Amino acid sequence: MASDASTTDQPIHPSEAEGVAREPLVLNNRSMAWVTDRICGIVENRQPLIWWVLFIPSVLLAGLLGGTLVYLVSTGVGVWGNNQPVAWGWAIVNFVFWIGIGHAGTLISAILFLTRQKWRTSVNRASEAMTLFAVVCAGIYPGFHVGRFWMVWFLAPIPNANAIWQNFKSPLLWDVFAVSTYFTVSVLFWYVGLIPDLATLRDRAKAKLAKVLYGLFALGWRGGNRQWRHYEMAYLILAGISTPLVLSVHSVVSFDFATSIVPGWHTTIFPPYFVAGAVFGGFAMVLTLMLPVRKLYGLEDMITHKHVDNMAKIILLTGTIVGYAYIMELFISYYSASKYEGDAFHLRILSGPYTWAYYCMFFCNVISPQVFWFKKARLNLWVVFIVANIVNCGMWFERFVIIPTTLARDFLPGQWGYYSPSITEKLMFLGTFGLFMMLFLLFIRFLPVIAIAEVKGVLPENDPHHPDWVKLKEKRRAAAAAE
Amino acid sequence: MAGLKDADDFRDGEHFKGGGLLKFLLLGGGVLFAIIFIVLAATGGAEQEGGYSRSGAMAYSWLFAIVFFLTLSIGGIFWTLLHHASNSGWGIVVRRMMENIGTMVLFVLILGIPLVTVPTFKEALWEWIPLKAALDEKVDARYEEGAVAKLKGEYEAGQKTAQSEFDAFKAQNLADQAKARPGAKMALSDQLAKQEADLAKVTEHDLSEGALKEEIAKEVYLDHHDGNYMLWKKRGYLNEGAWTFRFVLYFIALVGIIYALRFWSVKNDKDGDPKWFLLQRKWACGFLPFFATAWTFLVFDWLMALDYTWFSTMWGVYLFAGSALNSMALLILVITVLMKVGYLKKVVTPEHYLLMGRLLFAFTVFWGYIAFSQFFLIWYANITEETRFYLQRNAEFWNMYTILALVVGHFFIPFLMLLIQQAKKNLTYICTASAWILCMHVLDIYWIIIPERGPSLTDGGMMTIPGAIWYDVIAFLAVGGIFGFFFLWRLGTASLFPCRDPRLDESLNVVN
Amino acid sequence: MSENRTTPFAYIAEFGSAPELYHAAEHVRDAGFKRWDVHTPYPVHGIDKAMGLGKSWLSTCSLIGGVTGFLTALSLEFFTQVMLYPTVVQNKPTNLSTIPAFFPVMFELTILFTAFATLIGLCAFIMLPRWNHPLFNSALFNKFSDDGFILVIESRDPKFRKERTREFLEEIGAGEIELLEA
Repeated sequence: MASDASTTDQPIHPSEAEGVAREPLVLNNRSMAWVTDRICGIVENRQPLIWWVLFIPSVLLAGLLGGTLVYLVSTGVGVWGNNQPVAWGWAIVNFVFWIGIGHAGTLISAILFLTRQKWRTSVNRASEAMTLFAVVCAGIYPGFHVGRFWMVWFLAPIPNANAIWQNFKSPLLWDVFAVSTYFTVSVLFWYVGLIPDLATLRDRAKAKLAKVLYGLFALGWRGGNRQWRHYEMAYLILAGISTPLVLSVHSVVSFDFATSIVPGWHTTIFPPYFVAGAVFGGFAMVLTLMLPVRKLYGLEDMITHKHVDNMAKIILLTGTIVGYAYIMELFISYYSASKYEGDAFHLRILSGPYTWAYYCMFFCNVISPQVFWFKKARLNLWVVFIVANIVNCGMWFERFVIIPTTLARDFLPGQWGYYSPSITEKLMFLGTFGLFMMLFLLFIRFLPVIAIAEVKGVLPENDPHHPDWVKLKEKRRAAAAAE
Repeated sequence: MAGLKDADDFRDGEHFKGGGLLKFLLLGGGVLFAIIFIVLAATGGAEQEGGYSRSGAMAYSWLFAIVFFLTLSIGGIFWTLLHHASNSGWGIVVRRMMENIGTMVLFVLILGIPLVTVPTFKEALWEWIPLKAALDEKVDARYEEGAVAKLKGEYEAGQKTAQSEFDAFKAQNLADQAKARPGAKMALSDQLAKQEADLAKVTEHDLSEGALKEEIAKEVYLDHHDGNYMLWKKRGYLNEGAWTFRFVLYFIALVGIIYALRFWSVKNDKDGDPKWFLLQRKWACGFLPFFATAWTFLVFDWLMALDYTWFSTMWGVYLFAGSALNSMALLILVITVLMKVGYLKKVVTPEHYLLMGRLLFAFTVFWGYIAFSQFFLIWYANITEETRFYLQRNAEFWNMYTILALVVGHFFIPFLMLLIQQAKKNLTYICTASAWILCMHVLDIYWIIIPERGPSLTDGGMMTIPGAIWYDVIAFLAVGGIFGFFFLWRLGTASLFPCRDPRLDESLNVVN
Repeated sequence: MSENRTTPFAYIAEFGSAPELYHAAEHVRDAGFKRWDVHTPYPVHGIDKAMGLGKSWLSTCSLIGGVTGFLTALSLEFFTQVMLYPTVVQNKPTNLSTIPAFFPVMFELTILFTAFATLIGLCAFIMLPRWNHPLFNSALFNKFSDDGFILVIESRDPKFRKERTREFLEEIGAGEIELLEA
């Protein structure tokens, strides 16, 4: 069977051919010192003007959030627009929206870590931070949605004033457990990842206070291999448990809807569909944040086109999975021959009051990412940025379609209604963006935005097992020729 | 570094020779059991106690055997597609085996053709087919007795009457209007307009033959006593013409995808031109949506429609999860057996086992997640339209079966076994786990199909048909033997790994 | 005091690259040193083997944590929902056959306890946090968090000899060598 290809000039295994060779993860042969300098420089140097231009409005908007919350609590939940039949208005829409965004971080960190996708190193830190801030924004909504905020301790697993325990069979209580576990474990995961980088900042810090603070949080890290090996194991375990955790959290959020008997909510594909949607929206938000950061702080050599390309592909993949779920829902609403299912989707796509939202959602989430089939689109940062923002909107619309559209058309036509948000809700939503941006900008200001130690680990010269096929081959061919 | 392997040393690949005796034993056994099966099925038309026929019971056996082996090959296609689409390098040395498993889809689907063509089989399996046929017969009878012309006559007569009634009304109305005071006149003219609109509804009624036939069909289907509302609503999807046509489409899509990929992959073995590699990668991405769609609707048509009233949006994902998991288990077993008989020894390392073991673990969890979610949502909401599926599988014998085979056997035991990281490099250990998972998958497919048999076929609603398990075993052995024969034959048709794949270096030297 | 100050604490040696450090570690291991370590900016793949270290048993801590979490959730739900105050809600029975509905909380607490056990275990295994360490006094050592590949042999090691160890380090290819005094 052996052909005589070996006699031609063409190599038999052209591992360096175009499209075959692995692109480097850090461009321009940067050294470790350069990596340290560039990333720590963001924290150590003065922030560019644009940082302040973004930061000040963010603080103001976050203040607005505080103001609306005070107004809400002091006046009553009536200042929100939700009422029967749409009892879950923007509060839950925005909760699900933010918690969805909060999934990409842990996903990038955990799943990509387990699947040995080394490109994660350049974006995992910022996305984990994004996760935490998004979960903070998300947590505000259900907390205040309970109505009397000072009774929010009823959610905790302790007997209430009448010595009655929580109903552990309720999806809403699972949500409390899932979201709080998710937040806690994400913080731990993020912090464990930060320890070596905090040590780097500690060792470079000039100011006393900075040295003390970074030193405090670096826990006295010495980078010895007797530490690294346990550290790596801890990181692996945390990644291992975070992966099912990510799946579980959005599945539990989907249970809030899917365990009910409301047509349009009760459908078995909800858990994986919500998870795929969360990953989808999360990656879009990562791109929205990281593309400007990359440009602003000159991180092009570490967040390369390859990274953007990979994330665009994941958006395409998850967007298509979300499309699959939409199609399945529509198909089953027809196939089930269930009158209620059929009507729910008829109202969604043809005759209901919110059909515009359905088409917005479908366009943003399913159609728009399809441009990423083309490499040119994936390599054009403007296209990527615009599509990522369209996807952000689309994911918000998805939650909007699921919640008010369904609730506004109850089983009895006598209970039909229409929901539109009040000004308080709108300002509050705007305020959460302010809070989110403020926290993210502070993160850029005080913590390394890229995982320094991990990027160093993927520099090609740093792998003692680096498989340098080309060199090996040349050596062997030369030896053969000499004979 | 020392110990680095050079792909150039493996450029001629390894070719599977031998297995001749085993191959023909498998073929002989498979054909023997197939003949037994055919004879039993062909002579089993008589009605047994309980109102079922043996042929009908055996239809379920054949479907069970076909679907089990189909899921294995579907998993093979999936892993091949995934390997290309994710631009992976680690698994080049085992990719040919994924392709080999995937190409078995052709033979399994060919063996499955009787299911969609033999009337006894399809009528026993898919109740909607005979039910719909009976209704259609009634509709045809109505057509033949001239119902269309009669209905048309009725409508025309009705239109005539309505027209004349309206004319009389109009005359009277106009006369009244002439006499009336202005306020009353307006009311009268409104009345007239309304009557005119009502008349238009009657006279504009579509009297074309198609529309009238549809009306008659609807009347028959929606009859309170003998009709079937579901089948009327689903007639656009669940009708034999479309159903058979879809099978042809699935066949073309699934077979076409894997044969194209394998064709390019084998081409690459000959000349090592990277263009084949790039071609595979590019098309694999494009194939993925078609693969997902074909598989989803195939399992809708074959499995979900075993009970045409039941539905679950998760169904496609559930079957996909099981397929991917078990194909990986089969892959591990096949690779190990080949290594035991002396092949692939230099190319496959414990590192590959670790990676395959991790995927096995990941998909065990994924399967558990999907299976649990599907059960959980239906159990929790507890609405009539859906619960039947799980009620049936939690009644009598099937209750313990579900708990032991699926919850404990299919999830908890493999989960705990595969939790141990380093054990995945131990061939005996990982093979035990894989074999266990495969056995549990047999039970999973059995659980999907066979509980439908008793209630569907017997008139007393027996949960299980006594003795029918032997038909299942015969069918399984028949399909299994033929599957095994073709698989061994397939192994010999090309190198056991893609020997000139441009990323072979990477795969040979993979380190975790 | 002055005598104490001249007590050597450790030799700190810098190596040029990860592969060099890797080989040096193999030599140190073979020479039979016990109280030594390599300090690197990132975890060097496979260097555990070069140092002769086995597998990390941190996973045991995590497992214990996970089991504790699982049992905590199970008993919390069982006692409150089945024994203390059985209420029929959502048409679900008040016994353990409601276990699917208990599952989400069990899962979450298992994960939560595993995470905490892992973190606590990590701190115990690597003996951190600690506020200071003699090694931080060395500028050479502090390069570990930037781009230095540092090998440290402590004086507590029974094989530590002031002269011979330095020669040994030079032999195995160390660049800059510093004797840190405590």
